This record gives sequence, C-alpha cells and structure tokens, in this order.
Amino acid sequence: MTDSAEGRAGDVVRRLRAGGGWSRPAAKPPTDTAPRPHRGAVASLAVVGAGPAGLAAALTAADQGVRVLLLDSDAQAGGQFYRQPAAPLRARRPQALHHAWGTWTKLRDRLAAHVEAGRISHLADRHVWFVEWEFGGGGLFGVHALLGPAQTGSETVTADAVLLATGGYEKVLPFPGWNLPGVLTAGGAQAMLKGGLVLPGRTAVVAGTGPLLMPVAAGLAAAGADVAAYVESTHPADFVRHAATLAANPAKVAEAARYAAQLLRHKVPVTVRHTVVAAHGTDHVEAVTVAALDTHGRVRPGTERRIACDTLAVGHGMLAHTDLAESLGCAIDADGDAFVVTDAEQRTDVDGVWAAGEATGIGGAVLALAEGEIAGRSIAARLAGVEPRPADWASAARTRTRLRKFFAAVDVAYAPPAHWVEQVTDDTVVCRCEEVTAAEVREAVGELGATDLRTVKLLTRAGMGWCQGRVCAAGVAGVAGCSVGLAKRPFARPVPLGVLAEEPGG
Amino acid sequence: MRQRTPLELAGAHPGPPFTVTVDGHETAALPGQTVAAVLWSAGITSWRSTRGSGAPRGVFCGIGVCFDCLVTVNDRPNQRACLVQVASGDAIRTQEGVGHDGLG
Repeated sequence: MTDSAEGRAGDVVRRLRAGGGWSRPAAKPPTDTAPRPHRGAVASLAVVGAGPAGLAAALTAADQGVRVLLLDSDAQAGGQFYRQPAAPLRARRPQALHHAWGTWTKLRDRLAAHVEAGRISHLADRHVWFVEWEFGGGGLFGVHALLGPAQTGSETVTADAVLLATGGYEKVLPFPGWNLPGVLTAGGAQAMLKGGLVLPGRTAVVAGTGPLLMPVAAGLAAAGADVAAYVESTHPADFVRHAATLAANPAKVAEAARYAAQLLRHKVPVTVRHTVVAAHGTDHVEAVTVAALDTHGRVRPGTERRIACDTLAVGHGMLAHTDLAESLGCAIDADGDAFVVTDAEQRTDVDGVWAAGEATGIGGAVLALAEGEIAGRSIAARLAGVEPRPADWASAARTRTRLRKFFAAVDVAYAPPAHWVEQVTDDTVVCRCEEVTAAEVREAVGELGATDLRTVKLLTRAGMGWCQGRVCAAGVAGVAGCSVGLAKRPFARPVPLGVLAEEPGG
Repeated sequence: MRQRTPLELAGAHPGPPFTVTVDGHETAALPGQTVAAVLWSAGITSWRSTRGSGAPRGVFCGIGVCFDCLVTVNDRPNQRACLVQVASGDAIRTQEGVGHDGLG
C-alpha cells in the first residue's frame, strides 16, 4: 500500500530548500503518456474524497474491475452530504437528520461489498495534501496524505489515475461581529449536528443565502433548537424567471417544499429579502440585527430589527476545493468562484487526472453522483486502453445536463446582496486568522495602490494565516474591489515541517 | 415541554460516558464525540484567544477548513477541536495566542 520508500516527494522539499518558492510545473506532462497499468497488475485509481462524487466514481470503476484506493479525511465515508454520526454514538435513526437516505444505504452497501472483495481499499483519516506526477517514474501518481486528526505523519500511495472529488466548503462574507463565538457557518452547524449529534446553542438564527440554509434551519429545529429566524436575502420571486428550469426539476421543487413544511411545523419565522447587518455581543453572540433589502440589494434604512439569539448559522453559498488540481497544473476557471475545468468525460486537461462533484462547480449531491459515475466509466475504459462509450452513461449525462442548468439558475437567484460591502464597517475583521480589518484592506487599496488580492495580502497579511485565505478570500476581495483569482497554494493543507523533512529524497 | 435533543432524534445509544478534563475541570464525554462536541455539550463555545487582540474563538466552519477552533489536547497545541475525537482521560486546555506558552 505504502510506496513512499521509492518516492520522489522529496522534490517538494528540494524546491522549498532551494528557496525558489512554489511555481506551477514548468511543462505539463507529455500528452502521449496516457495512463496505463503498471507492473502487469490490475490498473489502479486513487480517488480523493469519499463524498457522493468520489463514492460514485470509486464504485463504478470497481464494478469495471479497476483497483481503487479511496482516500478520505473522515473516519467514515459519505462526505459532508452523507455525514454520519460517529460510529461509537451508535445512532439507530441517523436518517432523521438526512434526506435521500435510500441512496446512501445503497452506496454504503456497494462500498462494503467492494471492500470485502478487495477491489476498493477505503483509506479513512487520510488528509491528502499533495498529488504529484511521475512519482517514482513510470507515469504513476503519488498521493501524499497526512494521517488521522493528529496529522503528524504522512503516507504515500501510488496509482495509475487520479480522480479529484475534493468537494467544497461554505463561503461566508464578513459583517460586523461575524468573528464572535456562536457565529458559525450554516454547514458547520449541520456537520456538528450530523456527526456529533450536538447543537451550538438553544436559540439560533439561520441567515445568508443559498439552498443549504433551509435544510440547516429544518435540521436545527428538528433536533431541538429554537430557530428564532430564517433570514434569506433573496426572494422566491427571484426564481420565477427560471420557471422552465424549475418545471424540469420536480424533485428539487418537492425537496424545497418538504423543508418549507418542516419550517412551518416547527414554527420557524421565515424572512425573505432581508440580511443580517451585524452580530452583537462581547465574548459571545447575544443578538443580531436584521434589515430589509431593496430590489438592488441595498439595505433599506430604518428597517433594522434586533433578534436575540445565542447562535448565528450563516452562509453565502459554496466554494470548490481546487488546490490539488491547481498544483497538478489542471486548468481552473477562476473568472468567478474557482472550479476545475473538465470535459464531457470529467477529465481535466492533465492526462490521468479526472475530477467530479463540487470541485468542478457547485451543484449538489445528485449532480456529484452523476459526474462520479461518468468519471468512473471513463477511467475504467481508458485504463483498459479502450475508447469509452458515452452510451454507457447516457442516463447520468442527462442528469448532469439538467442539474448543471438548474444550479446555474440557483447561482444567479441566490447571489449575495449586491451591496453587501457597504455593511462592512472599517473596524470589521475581514481576515479572521490574521485579524486584518476592513480599514487596513481599504488603506492598502486606496492609499498604497493595491489592485489585486495578492498585493493586498502582502501589504496587510490578509489570507496569510492558518486557513491560507480559504475563509476570507471572497470577503477581502469584495472589500478591496478586486477579483479572487487563483490561490496558488503549494499544498492543499498545512503540512508540518517534520513531515516534509522526512519525505524520501529530501 | 422539554425540547428533544439531537441524541434522541437520531436514536443514539452510545457506550458509557467517560471523563475528560477541561482546564483541569472534570467534564463528561461520550465515546465518538469530537473535542468541540464535548465542549459544546458542556455549554462552552469558545476556547481559544487570538494572538493579536486576544479575542475569543470557537467553532466556525466545523469541517477542518478554518482553524478557528484550535485547542490544546494532552499538551499538543493547535489541534482542530472539530476533528479530534476525545478519549477517556484527555486533558483539554484552552489555548492562548500561538498555543506554545507554558508548554515544555
């Protein structure tokens, strides 16, 4: 399993020691080296991420006889969407916190069968920090992962092909008080509830924009929290112009109706075209101020209203994890929120590297399952040296087309308020790690002449902390009035120096 | 009427609780819980102060991305409370600044 003794991950260490910093590979791997089986063995695929996309790809490829290494940061498969209560909590009714439970049980059972048969190795608690080409020669990939939550050691596996199913995380735009304890991402509140069966507090406000907020509010209410307000900055009418798209997705409409009914049953007050303008408190959030938005996305003066709460679950959409793809040299579309560019087979533009799910653009679990299935078919065929037949995945391709169109409409309809930056006061901390205020960012732009995010970072340290700008990039860019662009992080996670020093060849 | 709990909603029947310490105070924990879940269950929502302004922080992203929930566990600073599962007898300590003060 571990092949690190012959590794060339030491290249990384050498690059760092040379003091030249990081750059993209000088040249893409030669295009004539298509992925191929090695040492006469069964061809192998490393799947990074065991959420819906990674699972679907791993299962589909294994069905076709590919040997699959499924690496995932969690102790259990499922990703964020199918996150399960920790096994020792022994939950009899985990489905109470989920929908589409039947889909999950099928995936889970198929995974168990493949693991039992030795076709899939489920490598849990692996935090992949780097994937490299020509690892140990022969065109193989080396996939480097930190082990367990402690992450003091690293392990390397090799494979003939790689599927990046790295998922996404939540975007939160800054506002005064967003750094108070008790303010957390909507997805974070849901993850802690699904995985740990705990609530952040007794009285919650769920606010922001996007399709995630409704299930979060419904879940918190079902689990016993008093949801004092559900505050969505868009208006259902904003979706009406997408009527044809909605009509083509009756399951999505039914899903939303089901959550709406749950909110009604739990007597959750729903407020649309409003936004949270501030969270209040000294050592903990005690209340939020909510205000109405006009049709241009600007706060209407005089509409402010205070709501007492001990929890604010907030989110403004989702962002894709693209770091591993970026360091492999894959094309990234960074015109808006960044995503990995893929073709009709879910291939990136780097030979042997496929991507599926949120990493290739935000679109939810059903789209991720379809993309994963297509990727799995394509990978199995190409590793066997035959041309894939799109007819084999016609149904998944139809689902993909329909849902990409649906989520393009969602993306337009659920945009954050156009003038959200006006609510970011000068003393608002915009970079949480380095505690950089909006005033410092504005000074970097207005007085020091910064015109891009990188210069703002060098002048203010915004984005230089533990999270490497994953949390603050959208907020800092918004305040600075520039685009986010490519992050160009050398590794997908913070790596202890001791791990780098111990890499072979270093 | 008493509100139901997430444990009841999911029909959890975890193994017997055990004890960890939080800044020296004995605190009940369930097997499988993360450090953050134990702290939330004990009504604690912040356990770190930032190295700049000393502002309190707790869980923000809940999935290991933001590093806001850093905590010292068994003398190892900067552990993500949302990821690390507790074990019986763990010594959990709130963390100030970079987390290395007072550690050998």
